[in-house]
Amino acid sequence: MRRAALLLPLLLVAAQQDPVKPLKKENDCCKGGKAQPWEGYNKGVHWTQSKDEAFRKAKKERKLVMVFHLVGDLDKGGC
Amino acid sequence: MRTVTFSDEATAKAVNESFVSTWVNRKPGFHNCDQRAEQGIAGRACFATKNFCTFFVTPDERVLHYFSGFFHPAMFAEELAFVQTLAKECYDEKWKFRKDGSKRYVELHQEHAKAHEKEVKPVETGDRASGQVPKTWGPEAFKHQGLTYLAKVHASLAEKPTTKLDDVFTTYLFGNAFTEE
Repeated sequence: MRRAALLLPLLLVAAQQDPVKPLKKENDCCKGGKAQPWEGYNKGVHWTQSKDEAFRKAKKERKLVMVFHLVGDLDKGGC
Repeated sequence: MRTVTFSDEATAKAVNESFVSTWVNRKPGFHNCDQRAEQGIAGRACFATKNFCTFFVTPDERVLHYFSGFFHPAMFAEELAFVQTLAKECYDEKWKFRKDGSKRYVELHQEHAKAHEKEVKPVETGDRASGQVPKTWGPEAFKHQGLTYLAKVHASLAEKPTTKLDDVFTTYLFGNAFTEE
């Protein structure tokens, strides 16, 4: 009885948390364990995939450079 | 950023007109395996995660501005307008500082740091005495965090008008430590 009373607050906290869903191994973004191209890539902001090339282009066109630094691939869907 | 801000028509037009854009995966070979984080972040006004960072630099890699995390198109547009003003007022056609350009760079960053500080609204923290948990998770709290963070970035850039991309590329300030690494 005493043990149950001690566990109850923990169970209530656990019930309020979002359930963690297992990740899908295969979905629209992932086939055969390989990330698929992201369909929105280059449809808004246009990307120059090489950083060096972007800076060369910016010098030539007298533009500024926007560098997006991320963990992951901008051109791939989630996998 | 990619599904909301960089896909937004007006944002994309403004960026494509004035910038050459590029992206770098800071962990080559790593690919995000969970789209839920991206979907969760995209529903907010801002979320200054460490996970990704946008830098605005001259072609010789001097930093005009940067911010980490997600900023909704409206907030992104304000920062973009700041970058364009800074570029116009501080640099010549060859991206060298104009006369007093570096002084103006400092002034503009300081002005924007103060402006963001003024925008920050106090966040309800809950009543600790009655055992309520402080409200640090939610749209208002994230906006508070984002604006406070932007103020810090402007203040830090004001301290060094000659910041190069390499100086901050991996050591940039961030508003919260959430990352998928």
